Amino acid sequence: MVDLTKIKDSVIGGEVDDVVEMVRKAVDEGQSVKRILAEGLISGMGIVGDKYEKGDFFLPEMVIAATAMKAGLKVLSPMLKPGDVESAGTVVLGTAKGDIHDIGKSIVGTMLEGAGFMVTDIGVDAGPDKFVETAKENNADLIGISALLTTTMVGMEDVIKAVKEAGLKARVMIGGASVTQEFADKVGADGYAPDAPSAVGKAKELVKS
Amino acid sequence: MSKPRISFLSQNEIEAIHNASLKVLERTGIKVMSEQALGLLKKAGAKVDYASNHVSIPGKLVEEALEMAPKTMKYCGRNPKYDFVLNKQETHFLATANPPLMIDGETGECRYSTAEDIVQCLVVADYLNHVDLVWPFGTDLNVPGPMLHIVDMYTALCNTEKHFEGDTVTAEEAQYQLEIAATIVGGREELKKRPIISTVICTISPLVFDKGMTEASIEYARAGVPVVIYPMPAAGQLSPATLAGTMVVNAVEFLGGLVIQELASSGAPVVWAPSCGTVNFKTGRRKWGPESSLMSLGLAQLARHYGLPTQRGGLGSSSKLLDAQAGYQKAVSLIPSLLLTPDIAGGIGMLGPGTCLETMVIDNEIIDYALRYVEGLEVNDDTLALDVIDNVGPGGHFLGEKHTLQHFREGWMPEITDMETFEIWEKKGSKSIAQVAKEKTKEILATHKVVPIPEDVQKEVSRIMKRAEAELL
Ligand code: B12
Repeated sequence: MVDLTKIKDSVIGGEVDDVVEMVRKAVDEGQSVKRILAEGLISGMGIVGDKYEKGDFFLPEMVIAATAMKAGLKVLSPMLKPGDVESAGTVVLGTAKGDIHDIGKSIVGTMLEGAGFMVTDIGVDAGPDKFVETAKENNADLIGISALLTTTMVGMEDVIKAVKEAGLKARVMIGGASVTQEFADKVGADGYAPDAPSAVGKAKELVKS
Repeated sequence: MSKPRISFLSQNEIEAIHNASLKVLERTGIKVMSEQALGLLKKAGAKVDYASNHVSIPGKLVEEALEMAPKTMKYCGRNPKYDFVLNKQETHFLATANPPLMIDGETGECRYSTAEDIVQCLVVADYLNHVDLVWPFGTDLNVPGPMLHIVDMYTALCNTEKHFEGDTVTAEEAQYQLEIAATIVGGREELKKRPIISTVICTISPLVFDKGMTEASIEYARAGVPVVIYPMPAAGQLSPATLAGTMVVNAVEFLGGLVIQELASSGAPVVWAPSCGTVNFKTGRRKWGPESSLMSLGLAQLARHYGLPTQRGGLGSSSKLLDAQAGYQKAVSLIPSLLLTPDIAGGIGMLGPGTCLETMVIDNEIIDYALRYVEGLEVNDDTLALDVIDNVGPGGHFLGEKHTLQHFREGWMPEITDMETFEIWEKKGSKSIAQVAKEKTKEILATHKVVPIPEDVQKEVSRIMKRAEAELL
């Protein structure tokens, strides 16, 4: 029997191949898919998140662990039933139309994953339709928009309007180097965070409220 | 004159970086999101896959582009007294600022910049003797996105007679910017001869060329107006964690961009801004540090090897205030940067999170100091001054010597740096440098008048702005 703590440790160590192999084996052995996910993958990522917060881990370690976690999740996903995934929330994340800055957005995504959120990253240069469609498909709790240019920041307002018009339940959180709380209030965003750790806090708060 | 200079990479190392870059361009290739650029590359013999936007560029094309690229070029101002030549002999200074936030140098308040801030920065830049060219200083959030880069240029050209280096992210923006500049200098041919503008084109590390920016750069190339290719890899994030690997990624992106420019128009003026970052792996943000200077200086040597002009960071700082950190970071980064004579060095007016009007005055003084330093010293019979030493002999002083009278004014004199005794400083109001700088900026704003664009030309330019609004909004 594959020891689920081994899967967890391999997620923490970012051993992508080991994670995939062990998850496959555990599935073949008939272990509970829900437990493999919770006790192996998600709990591993949780520890990675804690280590980051304590200052033991840095971004490269977070990113590679998230890659390992997602590779394991991919093996499981055909077998997962609704309700199997007990995540902190579902997030759709992207960079605003006309903007190709993606480092900050990707870091926020990784940190949210570290905190147990299920994140769909729609990449850069994303318009309102893309956000709304993906949020519908994933029944998202939260939409995160990143913009670093003053030319593209303004476009975040269009996404917020489109989300409201489509009657989605998802709350909208925005960020990026040039965005401030003042701006977020002006465009009617539900939340703003100046960096990735506080984005996680904000996301938890918005999903609950 | 013996000038302190450095070159720390050996010829072998420079060639190793060059050869590595050629290898990446051919083996790994680059991704070019513009079909127009792919067409040019394909026609010239590069291996192009339209479906994936992938291009493999053979070394031969790079060598040809390096041949075609001009080794010197003119940067002009609305007023010809501000024209200069990039010829690797002298450094010209760029007010780079840091939009869209604005920091008050005295109170430390940080907020979005306004249209008024932007004009004030331009007026101060127009006044300061070491500012040779400017970037957009801020952003007026009331300007709609598609118009921003055009308005940036229009505002700058109206409020300073110096050269403007802007941003351009689409071909349409490029066309309007070029039209406005051409109208001001008296036509397209004149603009080619006296480019009063240039633009910064960023590549997207690693190895990607954006559609809009690439097509904008082609417009500039065809107009014969300079393009600054500005790759910004960051070690361990957008390029390998090692410094040399990051330099290779930077060089590959520059050379890829250069090939596109020269294919668009043989002889197109191109400047290389080899910006290389390092990263705080806790936050993912770039960090200000010695390795960035090393990489950029190393690549400046490669640019020298190619004979091409460079633009580099000069007065860098990540400080949030106009404080000691701002001062030491700016000084410590500027001097080594000048030791390889970049054609353009930036940083005037910038602090970590935004633009700071007061720091421009201080930066001007740091530059003054640094320039004197890199000017070096002269050793000859007159400067060895044997007769003068003999005349004074042991003991005594040199104050009354004719030789002293001839030379004493050559020494550096500060304009705003305090070098007084405590008592005098106290009597003058015990002012911090931030206060002094604030007063100086107020004085400049009250007294300095920028020569406006002639009224008839202004009318013509306003018509172009209206047309741009009608088309782009
Ligand atoms: C790296 C960089 C680039 C790279 C981008 C590479 C990439 N793959 O992303 C390149 C070189 C391609 C680039 C291009 C350009 N850039 Co740029 N770029 C930067 C730079 C130096 C750093 C950005 C960065 O990666 N930061 C690191 C990350 C970790 O920080 P962050 O993005 O702020 O993200 C953190 C928080 O903001 C927050 N956050 C981010 N997103 C989100 C989302 C949510 C939902 C939440 C809650 C939080 C959150 O959490 C993150 C982690 O802590 C900034 C300067 C700056 N001060 O930020 C300029 C900057 C953003 N760029 C700027 C400009 C002008 C450009 C160009 C137009 C330049 C040109 N002429 O070509 C082009 C535009 C291209 C385009 N169409 O988008 C300007 C924008 C100014 C303005 N007024 O709009 C800036 C501010 C620099 C300046 N002052 O001039 N750029």
